[in-house]
Amino acid sequence: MERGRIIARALRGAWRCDPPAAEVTAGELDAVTSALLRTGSGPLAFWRNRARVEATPAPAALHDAWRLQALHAALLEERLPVAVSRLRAASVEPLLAKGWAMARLYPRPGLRPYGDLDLYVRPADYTAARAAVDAMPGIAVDLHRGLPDLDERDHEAVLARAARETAGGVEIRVLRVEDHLRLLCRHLLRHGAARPVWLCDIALLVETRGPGLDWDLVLAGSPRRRDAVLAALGLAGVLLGADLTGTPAAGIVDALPRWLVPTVSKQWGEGLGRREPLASSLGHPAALRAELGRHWPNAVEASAALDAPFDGRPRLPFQLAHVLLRGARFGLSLARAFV
Amino acid sequence: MKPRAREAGLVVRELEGELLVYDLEVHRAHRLNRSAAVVFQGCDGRTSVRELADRLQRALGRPTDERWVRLALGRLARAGLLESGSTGPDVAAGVSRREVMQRAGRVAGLTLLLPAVTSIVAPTPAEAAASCVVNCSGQAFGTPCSNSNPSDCGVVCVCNGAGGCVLAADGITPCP
Repeated sequence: MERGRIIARALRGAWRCDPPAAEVTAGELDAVTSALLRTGSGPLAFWRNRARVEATPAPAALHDAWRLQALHAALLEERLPVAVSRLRAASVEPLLAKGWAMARLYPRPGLRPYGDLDLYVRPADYTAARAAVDAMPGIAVDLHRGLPDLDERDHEAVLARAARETAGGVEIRVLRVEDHLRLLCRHLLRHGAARPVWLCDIALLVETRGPGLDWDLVLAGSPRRRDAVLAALGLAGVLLGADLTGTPAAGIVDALPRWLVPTVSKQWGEGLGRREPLASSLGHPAALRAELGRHWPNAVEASAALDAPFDGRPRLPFQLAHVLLRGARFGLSLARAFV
Repeated sequence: MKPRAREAGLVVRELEGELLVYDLEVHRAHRLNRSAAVVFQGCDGRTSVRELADRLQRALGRPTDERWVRLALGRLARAGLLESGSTGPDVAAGVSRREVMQRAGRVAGLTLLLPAVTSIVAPTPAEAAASCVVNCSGQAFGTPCSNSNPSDCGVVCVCNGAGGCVLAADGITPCP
Protein backbone atom coordinates (compact mmCIF):
# COMPACT_ATOMS: atom_id res chain seq x y z
CA MET A 1 0.00 0.00 0.00
CA GLU A 2 2.94 2.30 0.74
CA ARG A 3 4.09 2.09 -2.89
CA GLY A 4 0.58 3.02 -3.97
CA ARG A 5 0.63 6.09 -1.75
CA ILE A 6 3.99 7.14 -3.21
CA ILE A 7 2.54 6.75 -6.71
CA ALA A 8 -0.40 8.92 -5.70
CA ARG A 9 1.92 11.62 -4.34
CA ALA A 10 4.06 11.38 -7.49
CA LEU A 11 0.99 12.07 -9.63
CA ARG A 12 -0.87 14.70 -7.58
CA GLY A 13 -1.75 17.54 -9.94
CA ALA A 14 0.15 15.89 -12.82
CA TRP A 15 -2.57 16.86 -15.34
CA ARG A 16 -2.05 20.58 -14.77
CA CYS A 17 -0.06 22.94 -16.99
CA ASP A 18 1.89 24.01 -13.96
CA PRO A 19 1.92 21.10 -11.53
CA PRO A 20 2.77 21.71 -7.88
CA ALA A 21 6.28 21.17 -6.52
CA ALA A 22 7.44 17.59 -6.22
CA GLU A 23 6.23 15.76 -3.11
CA VAL A 24 8.34 12.62 -3.43
CA THR A 25 12.02 12.07 -2.80
CA ALA A 26 14.37 10.81 -5.47
CA GLY A 27 14.56 7.48 -3.69
CA GLU A 28 10.78 7.16 -3.55
CA LEU A 29 10.44 7.99 -7.21
CA ASP A 30 13.12 5.47 -8.08
CA ALA A 31 11.29 2.81 -6.06
CA VAL A 32 8.05 3.23 -8.02
CA THR A 33 9.49 3.97 -11.48
CA SER A 34 8.90 0.44 -12.71
CA ALA A 35 5.28 0.45 -11.47
CA LEU A 36 4.70 3.86 -13.06
CA LEU A 37 6.03 2.63 -16.40
CA ARG A 38 4.01 -0.55 -16.31
CA THR A 39 0.77 1.32 -15.68
CA GLY A 40 1.41 3.89 -18.40
CA SER A 41 1.93 6.66 -15.84
CA GLY A 42 5.61 7.29 -16.61
CA PRO A 43 5.11 10.42 -18.75
CA LEU A 44 2.79 12.06 -16.22
CA ALA A 45 5.16 11.19 -13.38
CA PHE A 46 7.99 12.84 -15.31
CA TRP A 47 5.92 15.94 -16.00
CA ARG A 48 4.89 16.21 -12.36
CA ASN A 49 8.35 15.60 -10.93
CA ARG A 50 10.56 16.93 -13.69
CA ALA A 51 12.70 19.09 -11.39
CA ARG A 52 13.23 16.07 -9.17
CA VAL A 53 13.86 13.78 -12.11
CA GLU A 54 16.44 16.03 -13.69
CA ALA A 55 18.36 16.05 -10.42
CA THR A 56 18.70 12.29 -10.37
CA PRO A 57 19.58 10.21 -13.40
CA ALA A 58 17.79 6.94 -12.52
CA PRO A 59 14.23 7.81 -13.55
CA ALA A 60 15.36 9.16 -16.91
CA ALA A 61 13.34 6.18 -18.09
CA LEU A 62 10.29 8.30 -17.26
CA HIS A 63 11.48 10.97 -19.69
CA ASP A 64 12.07 8.42 -22.41
CA ALA A 65 8.60 7.03 -21.74
CA TRP A 66 7.17 10.47 -22.42
CA ARG A 67 9.18 10.84 -25.62
CA LEU A 68 8.00 7.46 -26.87
CA GLN A 69 4.40 8.12 -25.94
CA ALA A 70 4.56 11.43 -27.78
CA LEU A 71 5.70 9.59 -30.91
CA HIS A 72 3.09 6.90 -30.37
CA ALA A 73 0.40 9.55 -30.06
CA ALA A 74 1.60 11.10 -33.33
CA LEU A 75 1.17 7.72 -35.01
CA LEU A 76 -2.33 7.25 -33.64
CA GLU A 77 -3.33 10.82 -34.50
CA GLU A 78 -2.49 10.03 -38.13
CA ARG A 79 -4.60 6.89 -37.98
CA LEU A 80 -7.64 8.31 -36.21
CA PRO A 81 -9.13 10.24 -39.17
CA VAL A 82 -8.51 7.22 -41.39
CA ALA A 83 -10.38 4.93 -39.00
CA VAL A 84 -13.31 7.32 -38.62
CA SER A 85 -13.56 7.91 -42.37
CA ARG A 86 -13.59 4.19 -43.09
CA LEU A 87 -16.30 3.59 -40.52
CA ARG A 88 -18.37 6.39 -42.03
CA ALA A 89 -17.86 4.81 -45.43
CA ALA A 90 -19.49 1.74 -43.90
CA SER A 91 -22.39 3.93 -42.70
CA VAL A 92 -21.25 3.74 -39.09
CA GLU A 93 -21.00 6.87 -36.95
CA PRO A 94 -18.45 6.32 -34.17
CA LEU A 95 -18.24 8.18 -30.89
CA LEU A 96 -14.86 8.78 -29.28
CA ALA A 97 -14.06 8.66 -25.58
CA LYS A 98 -11.12 7.97 -23.27
CA GLY A 99 -7.74 7.66 -25.12
CA TRP A 100 -7.37 10.34 -27.79
CA ALA A 101 -10.38 12.24 -26.50
CA MET A 102 -8.68 12.70 -23.12
CA ALA A 103 -5.04 12.88 -24.25
CA ARG A 104 -5.68 16.05 -26.27
CA LEU A 105 -6.74 17.84 -23.06
CA TYR A 106 -3.42 17.33 -21.27
CA PRO A 107 -0.80 20.10 -21.33
CA ARG A 108 1.57 18.31 -23.73
CA PRO A 109 1.25 15.48 -26.26
CA GLY A 110 2.27 12.08 -24.99
CA LEU A 111 1.59 12.77 -21.31
CA ARG A 112 -1.57 10.69 -21.33
CA PRO A 113 -0.76 7.44 -23.10
CA TYR A 114 -3.31 5.49 -25.06
CA GLY A 115 -2.70 2.30 -26.90
CA ASP A 116 -5.64 2.30 -29.24
CA LEU A 117 -8.60 4.29 -30.45
CA ASP A 118 -11.71 3.79 -28.33
CA LEU A 119 -14.63 3.92 -30.74
CA TYR A 120 -18.22 3.40 -29.59
CA VAL A 121 -20.82 2.43 -32.17
CA ARG A 122 -24.53 1.73 -32.07
CA PRO A 123 -25.16 -1.91 -31.14
CA ALA A 124 -27.01 -2.37 -34.43
CA ASP A 125 -23.95 -1.12 -36.34
CA TYR A 126 -21.46 -3.32 -34.53
CA THR A 127 -21.17 -6.05 -37.17
CA ALA A 128 -20.58 -3.56 -39.97
CA ALA A 129 -18.13 -1.66 -37.78
CA ARG A 130 -16.27 -4.85 -36.88
CA ALA A 131 -15.86 -5.70 -40.55
CA ALA A 132 -14.56 -2.20 -41.30
CA VAL A 133 -12.10 -2.36 -38.42
CA ASP A 134 -10.89 -5.81 -39.41
CA ALA A 135 -10.16 -4.41 -42.86
CA MET A 136 -7.63 -1.96 -41.38
CA PRO A 137 -5.18 -4.19 -39.49
CA GLY A 138 -2.57 -1.47 -39.07
CA ILE A 139 -4.87 0.61 -36.91
CA ALA A 140 -5.36 -0.33 -33.26
CA VAL A 141 -9.06 0.14 -32.57
CA ASP A 142 -10.91 -0.87 -29.43
CA LEU A 143 -14.41 -1.18 -30.82
CA HIS A 144 -17.24 -1.00 -28.30
CA ARG A 145 -20.76 -2.26 -28.88
CA GLY A 146 -22.88 0.62 -27.61
CA LEU A 147 -21.80 2.49 -24.51
CA PRO A 148 -21.31 -0.17 -21.82
CA ASP A 149 -20.40 2.37 -19.14
CA LEU A 150 -23.42 4.50 -20.01
CA ASP A 151 -25.82 1.62 -20.47
CA GLU A 152 -28.70 3.46 -18.83
CA ARG A 153 -28.48 6.25 -21.43
CA ASP A 154 -29.95 6.31 -24.89
CA HIS A 155 -27.19 5.98 -27.48
CA GLU A 156 -28.92 8.31 -29.92
CA ALA A 157 -29.30 11.01 -27.28
CA VAL A 158 -25.65 10.72 -26.29
CA LEU A 159 -24.62 10.88 -29.95
CA ALA A 160 -26.85 13.88 -30.61
CA ARG A 161 -25.32 15.95 -27.82
CA ALA A 162 -21.73 14.84 -28.54
CA ALA A 163 -19.12 17.52 -29.17
CA ARG A 164 -17.77 17.93 -32.69
CA GLU A 165 -13.98 18.11 -32.93
CA THR A 166 -11.63 17.92 -35.88
CA ALA A 167 -8.66 15.62 -36.37
CA GLY A 168 -6.69 15.53 -39.61
CA GLY A 169 -9.45 17.45 -41.36
CA VAL A 170 -12.10 14.92 -40.36
CA GLU A 171 -14.94 15.73 -37.98
CA ILE A 172 -14.87 13.54 -34.89
CA ARG A 173 -17.76 13.10 -32.45
CA VAL A 174 -16.52 13.13 -28.86
CA LEU A 175 -18.67 12.46 -25.81
CA ARG A 176 -20.04 15.60 -24.21
CA VAL A 177 -18.16 16.40 -21.00
CA GLU A 178 -21.02 15.31 -18.75
CA ASP A 179 -21.34 11.92 -20.45
CA HIS A 180 -17.57 11.58 -20.64
CA LEU A 181 -17.06 12.26 -16.95
CA ARG A 182 -19.67 9.70 -16.00
CA LEU A 183 -18.19 7.14 -18.40
CA LEU A 184 -14.69 7.71 -17.01
CA CYS A 185 -15.91 7.27 -13.44
CA ARG A 186 -17.78 4.07 -14.16
CA HIS A 187 -14.95 2.69 -16.32
CA LEU A 188 -12.45 3.39 -13.55
CA LEU A 189 -14.57 1.58 -10.96
CA ARG A 190 -15.43 -1.33 -13.24
CA HIS A 191 -11.72 -1.99 -13.71
CA GLY A 192 -10.90 -1.70 -10.02
CA ALA A 193 -9.23 1.71 -10.46
CA ALA A 194 -6.20 -0.25 -11.62
CA ARG A 195 -4.52 2.53 -13.60
CA PRO A 196 -3.67 5.86 -11.98
CA VAL A 197 -4.00 7.64 -15.30
CA TRP A 198 -7.73 6.90 -15.34
CA LEU A 199 -8.12 8.87 -12.10
CA CYS A 200 -5.96 11.65 -13.56
CA ASP A 201 -8.46 11.81 -16.45
CA ILE A 202 -11.30 12.37 -14.01
CA ALA A 203 -9.35 15.01 -12.12
CA LEU A 204 -8.51 16.79 -15.38
CA LEU A 205 -12.11 16.87 -16.59
CA VAL A 206 -13.34 18.13 -13.23
CA GLU A 207 -10.77 20.91 -13.05
CA THR A 208 -11.15 22.03 -16.67
CA ARG A 209 -14.95 21.90 -16.73
CA GLY A 210 -16.71 24.99 -17.87
CA PRO A 211 -19.08 26.91 -15.61
CA GLY A 212 -22.04 25.47 -17.44
CA LEU A 213 -21.31 21.83 -16.69
CA ASP A 214 -24.60 20.10 -15.98
CA TRP A 215 -23.96 18.05 -12.84
CA ASP A 216 -27.50 16.71 -12.96
CA LEU A 217 -26.65 15.11 -16.28
CA VAL A 218 -23.40 13.70 -14.90
CA LEU A 219 -25.20 12.12 -11.96
CA ALA A 220 -28.51 11.19 -13.60
CA GLY A 221 -29.40 7.56 -13.11
CA SER A 222 -29.93 5.17 -10.25
CA PRO A 223 -28.96 6.39 -6.77
CA ARG A 224 -26.37 3.63 -6.42
CA ARG A 225 -24.62 4.63 -9.62
CA ARG A 226 -24.84 8.25 -8.59
CA ASP A 227 -23.06 7.36 -5.36
CA ALA A 228 -20.50 5.34 -7.28
CA VAL A 229 -19.72 8.29 -9.57
CA LEU A 230 -19.42 10.55 -6.53
CA ALA A 231 -17.06 8.04 -4.93
CA ALA A 232 -14.83 8.12 -8.03
CA LEU A 233 -14.79 11.91 -7.92
CA GLY A 234 -13.96 11.78 -4.22
CA LEU A 235 -11.09 9.40 -4.94
CA ALA A 236 -9.64 11.92 -7.38
CA GLY A 237 -9.77 14.52 -4.63
CA VAL A 238 -8.28 12.39 -1.87
CA LEU A 239 -5.62 10.48 -3.77
CA LEU A 240 -4.59 12.98 -6.45
CA GLY A 241 -5.55 16.30 -4.96
CA ALA A 242 -8.14 17.20 -7.58
CA ASP A 243 -9.90 20.45 -6.74
CA LEU A 244 -13.51 19.45 -6.10
CA THR A 245 -14.63 22.89 -4.98
CA GLY A 246 -18.06 23.71 -6.34
CA THR A 247 -18.82 20.11 -7.32
CA PRO A 248 -21.36 17.77 -5.74
CA ALA A 249 -18.40 15.71 -4.58
CA ALA A 250 -16.92 18.56 -2.53
CA GLY A 251 -18.45 17.30 0.68
CA ILE A 252 -17.97 13.62 0.06
CA VAL A 253 -14.28 13.34 0.72
CA ASP A 254 -14.72 12.77 4.44
CA ALA A 255 -17.65 10.46 3.83
CA LEU A 256 -15.91 8.00 1.50
CA PRO A 257 -16.13 4.41 2.68
CA ARG A 258 -13.04 3.52 4.69
CA TRP A 259 -12.08 0.63 2.43
CA LEU A 260 -11.97 2.70 -0.78
CA VAL A 261 -8.70 4.63 -0.63
CA PRO A 262 -6.66 1.73 0.87
CA THR A 263 -7.99 -0.60 -1.82
CA VAL A 264 -6.90 1.68 -4.64
CA SER A 265 -3.54 2.44 -3.01
CA LYS A 266 -2.89 -1.28 -2.65
CA GLN A 267 -3.90 -1.89 -6.25
CA TRP A 268 -1.57 0.81 -7.56
CA GLY A 269 1.28 -0.55 -5.48
CA GLU A 270 0.78 -4.04 -6.85
CA GLY A 271 0.58 -3.02 -10.48
CA LEU A 272 -1.79 -4.33 -13.05
CA GLY A 273 -1.43 -8.10 -12.80
CA ARG A 274 -2.54 -8.81 -16.32
CA ARG A 275 -5.20 -11.51 -16.48
CA GLU A 276 -5.15 -14.28 -19.02
CA PRO A 277 -8.28 -16.33 -19.75
CA LEU A 278 -8.58 -19.16 -17.24
CA ALA A 279 -9.13 -21.54 -20.11
CA SER A 280 -5.53 -21.04 -21.20
CA SER A 281 -4.32 -22.43 -17.84
CA LEU A 282 -6.49 -25.54 -17.78
CA GLY A 283 -4.34 -28.63 -17.36
CA HIS A 284 -1.55 -26.63 -15.69
CA PRO A 285 -2.40 -26.57 -11.95
CA ALA A 286 0.36 -24.16 -10.93
CA ALA A 287 -0.49 -21.72 -13.70
CA LEU A 288 -4.18 -22.07 -12.90
CA ARG A 289 -3.57 -21.26 -9.20
CA ALA A 290 -1.57 -18.15 -10.15
CA GLU A 291 -4.22 -17.10 -12.62
CA LEU A 292 -7.01 -17.60 -10.08
CA GLY A 293 -5.13 -15.24 -7.77
CA ARG A 294 -5.02 -12.62 -10.47
CA HIS A 295 -8.73 -13.05 -11.07
CA TRP A 296 -9.62 -12.20 -7.48
CA PRO A 297 -11.39 -8.84 -7.82
CA ASN A 298 -10.50 -5.94 -5.59
CA ALA A 299 -13.30 -4.33 -3.59
CA VAL A 300 -13.83 -1.53 -6.12
CA GLU A 301 -14.14 -3.85 -9.10
CA ALA A 302 -16.52 -6.22 -7.30
CA SER A 303 -18.71 -3.38 -6.05
CA ALA A 304 -18.96 -1.78 -9.47
CA ALA A 305 -19.63 -5.07 -11.25
CA LEU A 306 -22.52 -5.88 -8.93
CA ASP A 307 -23.85 -2.32 -8.73
CA ALA A 308 -23.32 -2.62 -4.99
CA PRO A 309 -23.62 0.45 -2.80
CA PHE A 310 -20.36 2.29 -2.18
CA ASP A 311 -20.88 2.39 1.57
CA GLY A 312 -19.16 1.22 4.71
CA ARG A 313 -20.34 -2.37 4.61
CA PRO A 314 -17.67 -5.10 4.33
CA ARG A 315 -16.68 -5.88 0.76
CA LEU A 316 -15.86 -9.57 1.07
CA PRO A 317 -19.42 -10.74 0.32
CA PHE A 318 -19.44 -8.69 -2.88
CA GLN A 319 -16.03 -9.99 -3.89
CA LEU A 320 -17.17 -13.57 -3.30
CA ALA A 321 -20.40 -12.97 -5.20
CA HIS A 322 -18.47 -11.47 -8.09
CA VAL A 323 -16.13 -14.47 -8.20
CA LEU A 324 -19.08 -16.87 -8.12
CA LEU A 325 -20.80 -14.98 -10.90
CA ARG A 326 -17.72 -15.03 -13.06
CA GLY A 327 -17.13 -18.66 -12.21
CA ALA A 328 -20.64 -19.50 -13.33
CA ARG A 329 -20.10 -17.64 -16.59
CA PHE A 330 -16.79 -19.47 -17.08
CA GLY A 331 -18.50 -22.79 -16.41
CA LEU A 332 -21.21 -21.98 -18.91
CA SER A 333 -18.67 -21.07 -21.57
CA LEU A 334 -16.79 -24.32 -20.90
CA ALA A 335 -20.01 -26.30 -21.13
CA ARG A 336 -20.84 -24.65 -24.43
CA ALA A 337 -17.35 -25.45 -25.72
CA PHE A 338 -17.73 -29.15 -24.89
CA VAL A 339 -21.32 -29.58 -26.07
CA MET B 1 26.50 19.16 -51.43
CA LYS B 2 22.83 19.82 -50.66
CA PRO B 3 21.67 17.13 -48.25
CA ARG B 4 18.07 16.00 -48.11
CA ALA B 5 16.32 14.56 -45.05
CA ARG B 6 14.11 11.52 -45.44
CA GLU B 7 10.40 12.23 -45.38
CA ALA B 8 8.82 8.89 -46.14
CA GLY B 9 8.51 6.39 -43.32
CA LEU B 10 9.26 8.86 -40.55
CA VAL B 11 7.02 10.13 -37.78
CA VAL B 12 8.30 13.45 -36.45
CA ARG B 13 7.18 15.36 -33.39
CA GLU B 14 8.62 18.36 -31.57
CA LEU B 15 8.62 18.09 -27.80
CA GLU B 16 10.16 20.47 -25.30
CA GLY B 17 12.98 21.71 -27.51
CA GLU B 18 13.80 18.31 -28.93
CA LEU B 19 12.81 16.77 -32.22
CA LEU B 20 11.62 13.19 -31.88
CA VAL B 21 11.76 10.96 -34.92
CA TYR B 22 10.43 7.45 -35.30
CA ASP B 23 11.70 5.45 -38.24
CA LEU B 24 8.89 3.16 -39.36
CA GLU B 25 11.23 1.17 -41.60
CA VAL B 26 13.66 -0.02 -38.93
CA HIS B 27 11.46 0.68 -35.91
CA ARG B 28 13.85 2.96 -34.10
CA ALA B 29 13.10 6.14 -32.24
CA HIS B 30 15.61 8.99 -32.09
CA ARG B 31 15.78 12.31 -30.34
CA LEU B 32 17.58 15.20 -31.93
CA ASN B 33 18.88 18.06 -29.84
CA ARG B 34 18.35 21.59 -31.08
CA SER B 35 21.47 21.72 -33.26
CA ALA B 36 20.75 18.42 -34.94
CA ALA B 37 17.09 19.39 -35.35
CA VAL B 38 17.97 22.68 -37.09
CA VAL B 39 20.19 20.85 -39.55
CA PHE B 40 17.68 18.02 -40.06
CA GLN B 41 14.82 20.42 -40.72
CA GLY B 42 16.99 22.44 -43.10
CA CYS B 43 17.98 19.45 -45.21
CA ASP B 44 15.57 20.05 -48.08
CA GLY B 45 17.88 19.17 -50.96
CA ARG B 46 18.18 22.84 -51.93
CA THR B 47 20.16 24.25 -49.02
CA SER B 48 23.96 24.01 -49.02
CA VAL B 49 26.12 23.13 -46.04
CA ARG B 50 27.28 26.77 -45.91
CA GLU B 51 23.69 27.97 -45.74
CA LEU B 52 22.87 25.37 -43.10
CA ALA B 53 25.80 26.64 -41.03
CA ASP B 54 24.44 30.20 -41.24
CA ARG B 55 21.01 28.96 -40.22
CA LEU B 56 22.47 27.03 -37.30
CA GLN B 57 24.44 30.06 -36.13
CA ARG B 58 21.31 32.18 -36.14
CA ALA B 59 19.32 29.51 -34.30
CA LEU B 60 21.90 28.97 -31.58
CA GLY B 61 22.99 32.59 -31.30
CA ARG B 62 26.67 31.62 -31.14
CA PRO B 63 29.46 31.15 -33.66
CA THR B 64 29.32 27.89 -35.57
CA ASP B 65 30.80 26.77 -38.86
CA GLU B 66 30.44 24.07 -41.49
CA ARG B 67 32.12 21.56 -39.17
CA TRP B 68 29.08 21.68 -36.92
CA VAL B 69 26.83 20.96 -39.87
CA ARG B 70 29.03 18.11 -41.09
CA LEU B 71 29.06 16.66 -37.58
CA ALA B 72 25.24 16.81 -37.52
CA LEU B 73 24.99 15.31 -40.99
CA GLY B 74 27.22 12.45 -39.92
CA ARG B 75 25.02 11.71 -36.94
CA LEU B 76 21.85 11.99 -39.00
CA ALA B 77 23.25 9.79 -41.76
CA ARG B 78 24.28 7.13 -39.25
CA ALA B 79 20.76 7.17 -37.84
CA GLY B 80 19.41 6.66 -41.35
CA LEU B 81 17.52 9.93 -41.37
CA LEU B 82 18.98 11.35 -44.60
CA GLU B 83 18.23 10.32 -48.16
CA SER B 84 21.04 8.04 -49.22
CA GLY B 85 23.27 9.72 -51.75
CA SER B 86 22.27 13.22 -50.74
CA THR B 87 25.48 13.68 -48.75
CA GLY B 88 29.05 13.04 -49.82
CA PRO B 89 30.88 9.92 -48.66
CA ASP B 90 33.09 11.98 -46.38
CA VAL B 91 30.23 13.27 -44.24
CA ALA B 92 30.14 10.63 -41.55
CA ALA B 93 33.90 10.24 -41.24
CA GLY B 94 34.93 13.79 -41.99
CA VAL B 95 34.36 15.57 -38.70
CA SER B 96 34.60 14.36 -35.15
CA ARG B 97 32.97 15.79 -32.07
CA ARG B 98 36.42 16.33 -30.57
CA GLU B 99 37.55 18.30 -33.60
CA VAL B 100 34.58 20.62 -33.42
CA MET B 101 35.11 21.14 -29.70
CA GLN B 102 38.79 21.94 -30.18
CA ARG B 103 37.97 24.54 -32.81
CA ALA B 104 35.21 26.07 -30.71
CA GLY B 105 37.39 26.45 -27.63
CA ARG B 106 36.38 25.96 -24.03
CA VAL B 107 32.89 27.31 -23.71
CA ALA B 108 30.54 26.47 -20.89
CA GLY B 109 27.75 24.15 -22.02
CA LEU B 110 29.32 23.57 -25.41
CA THR B 111 28.85 19.82 -25.28
CA LEU B 112 25.11 20.31 -24.85
CA LEU B 113 25.00 22.49 -27.95
CA LEU B 114 26.91 20.12 -30.23
CA PRO B 115 24.64 18.20 -32.62
CA ALA B 116 23.44 14.98 -31.04
CA VAL B 117 21.18 12.21 -32.29
CA THR B 118 20.30 9.73 -29.54
CA SER B 119 18.30 6.55 -29.75
CA ILE B 120 15.35 6.22 -27.40
CA VAL B 121 14.73 2.84 -25.89
CA ALA B 122 11.36 1.44 -24.95
CA PRO B 123 9.95 2.72 -21.65
CA THR B 124 11.36 0.07 -19.41
CA PRO B 125 13.92 -0.18 -16.66
CA ALA B 126 15.26 -3.30 -18.31
CA GLU B 127 17.50 -3.24 -21.34
CA ALA B 128 15.46 -3.36 -24.51
CA ALA B 129 16.56 -5.54 -27.36
CA ALA B 130 17.52 -3.70 -30.50
CA SER B 131 15.63 -5.95 -32.89
CA CYS B 132 11.96 -6.58 -33.33
CA VAL B 133 10.58 -9.95 -32.29
CA VAL B 134 7.39 -11.72 -33.29
CA ASN B 135 7.44 -14.04 -30.28
CA CYS B 136 7.77 -12.44 -26.86
CA SER B 137 8.34 -15.70 -25.02
CA GLY B 138 11.37 -15.21 -22.76
CA GLN B 139 11.85 -11.61 -23.87
CA ALA B 140 12.34 -8.75 -21.43
CA PHE B 141 9.62 -6.20 -20.81
CA GLY B 142 10.00 -3.46 -23.38
CA THR B 143 11.51 -5.55 -26.15
CA PRO B 144 10.16 -4.20 -29.46
CA CYS B 145 7.68 -6.64 -30.95
CA SER B 146 4.91 -6.90 -33.49
CA ASN B 147 2.04 -9.29 -34.03
CA SER B 148 0.57 -8.52 -37.42
CA ASN B 149 1.88 -5.16 -38.46
CA PRO B 150 5.68 -4.72 -38.50
CA SER B 151 5.33 -0.94 -38.46
CA ASP B 152 3.91 -1.21 -34.94
CA CYS B 153 7.20 -2.54 -33.64
CA GLY B 154 8.90 -0.77 -30.77
CA VAL B 155 6.89 2.37 -30.34
CA VAL B 156 3.47 0.83 -30.72
CA CYS B 157 4.13 -2.67 -29.44
CA VAL B 158 6.51 -4.06 -26.84
CA CYS B 159 6.82 -7.35 -24.97
CA ASN B 160 5.18 -7.34 -21.54
CA GLY B 161 7.73 -9.60 -19.90
CA ALA B 162 5.19 -12.41 -19.61
CA GLY B 163 5.30 -13.59 -23.19
CA GLY B 164 2.72 -11.18 -24.57
CA CYS B 165 3.13 -8.47 -27.19
CA VAL B 166 1.24 -5.45 -25.87
CA LEU B 167 0.66 -1.83 -26.72
CA ALA B 168 3.58 0.20 -25.35
CA ALA B 169 1.28 3.02 -24.39
CA ASP B 170 -0.49 1.10 -21.69
CA GLY B 171 1.48 -2.10 -21.28
CA ILE B 172 -1.64 -4.26 -21.12
CA THR B 173 -3.66 -4.21 -24.31
CA PRO B 174 -2.60 -6.99 -26.68
CA CYS B 175 -1.15 -5.67 -29.93
CA PRO B 176 -3.45 -5.94 -32.91
